[in-house]
Amino acid sequence: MTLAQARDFLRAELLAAAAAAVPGQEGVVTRDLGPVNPNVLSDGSGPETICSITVETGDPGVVDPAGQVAAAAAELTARGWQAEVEPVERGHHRVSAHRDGYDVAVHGWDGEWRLTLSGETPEIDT
Amino acid sequence: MTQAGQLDLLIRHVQNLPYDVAAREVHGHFYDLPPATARALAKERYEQVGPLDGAPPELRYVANRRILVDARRTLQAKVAAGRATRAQDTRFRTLDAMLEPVSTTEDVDGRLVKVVHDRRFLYVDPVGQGRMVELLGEDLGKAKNVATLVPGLNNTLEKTAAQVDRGYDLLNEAGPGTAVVVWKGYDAPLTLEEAMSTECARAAVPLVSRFDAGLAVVMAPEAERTLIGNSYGSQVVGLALLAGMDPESPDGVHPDRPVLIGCPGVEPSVHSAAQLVPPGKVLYVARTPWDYVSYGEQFGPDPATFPDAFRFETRGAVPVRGHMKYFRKNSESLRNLGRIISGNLDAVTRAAQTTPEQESKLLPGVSWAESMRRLPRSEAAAPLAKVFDGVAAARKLSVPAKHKPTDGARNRRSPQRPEGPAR
Repeated sequence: MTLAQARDFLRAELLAAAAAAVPGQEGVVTRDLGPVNPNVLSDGSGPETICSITVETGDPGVVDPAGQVAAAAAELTARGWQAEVEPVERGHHRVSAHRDGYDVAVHGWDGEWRLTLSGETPEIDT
Repeated sequence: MTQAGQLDLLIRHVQNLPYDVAAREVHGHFYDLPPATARALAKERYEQVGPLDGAPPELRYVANRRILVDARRTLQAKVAAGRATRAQDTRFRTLDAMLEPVSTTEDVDGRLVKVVHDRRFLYVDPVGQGRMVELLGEDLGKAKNVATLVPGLNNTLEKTAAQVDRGYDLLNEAGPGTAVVVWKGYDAPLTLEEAMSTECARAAVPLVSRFDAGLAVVMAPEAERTLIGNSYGSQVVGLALLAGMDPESPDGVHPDRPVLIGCPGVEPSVHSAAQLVPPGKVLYVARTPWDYVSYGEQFGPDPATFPDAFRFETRGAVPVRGHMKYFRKNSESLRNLGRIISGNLDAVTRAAQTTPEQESKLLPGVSWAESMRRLPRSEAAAPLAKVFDGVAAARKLSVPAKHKPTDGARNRRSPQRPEGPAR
């Protein structure tokens, strides 16, 4: 798989999870950085090896972080991810998901209608 | 006297004042101006207002954007005329990317709506390797928690995109009400040979100190500050903390929650948190297994070995190993950074006090950490760094530049755009 294909895949997965988490709202891609080299100590001239994407969703009239992160986790699981709803930590609701070197984190917060889904592709030589 | 003339006087006046006094005077000067006058001044005298610590952030965003626009225009003329060097061409595309808006979402009449806004630069310097300081997340005047990330080796203006990406991950971890500042406000070492010296870090200390003082006057009074130094950036932060403990020093930073990760040491004589933070404050430190930079202890004992520091866990369900993975998504390392920033300190998980030898054990009785520790002080260190730098330079010549979209909107237009810089 090329990095461009990995990026497209990740973007589609995040949007699908966002749609399942908050039905009736269309997730918004707020960051799609393109390839970056995550290695701080590299010489910086080598291949840019990961893509990082963030999607936001939410229904301003509905504050249900627990239900929404659970729905996101279920959708990711159905799509072949190993997704886990983590214990709530001081109002922080979280899903961590992994698949074939991809990492996704879903964050929701008590009292906050917005849900954030962010993901990274695996490192792929370009 | 004109407003511009008064500004000139102010800048001259505060130049040699203690940083905190200077920041307060600058802040007071702008606070007393009618908003329209202050904004007009920021537009007219943008080169002065852009870097002016203590000035209202909103004015600095306006001023720094003008600095970027000017620099981009100058380079654009050279690029269009085919007279740009490779470096100028790369810088032109970097500035172009920095001027691209960023996206967020808002509640508009009960619907989730995408909105775009300009990036918020508190400082930019497009010359040389380039410097920039960018605010992410909540406005400084509203944030409950403000974190500043100081990156390390090899971060030119072209490479700050990856640091900004880390900044967004910190924001996501820390949650609503958080602001993250990516502070690449210094000239970082660009080669291993340079990184073997403290010269860049020492030059950065007054810069980060002045910025820290300016931050204090524009934040909400009850907001709490976290200062994170990563890799060589932790040398910068470590030296700035050390200066802050010296009443004779004009420099120094005073964060509520200082963090040093992947640290090559501060000073040979610094071996405890008590030398860097006053009583009652906790120094948070981290070292992943196989972090060869920490093992090397180039500049002094690794803070992760300080008996009175809080060494937080980096390992969890997501494996983290080596110097470059402190910000890996879903890692315990990134989670702990979020907990520290948000003040959820009881939840920060403590790491076992393992030694480098235990962490880098290859076979019973055989580890490579000790040889790493000896390397920086050996006669071979400098020649080896030169070889590495030479290989890096050769690779740089052979790798084509790449395009860097900054958001979805930009990405959709990318096929029509020229190739961008490598980062």
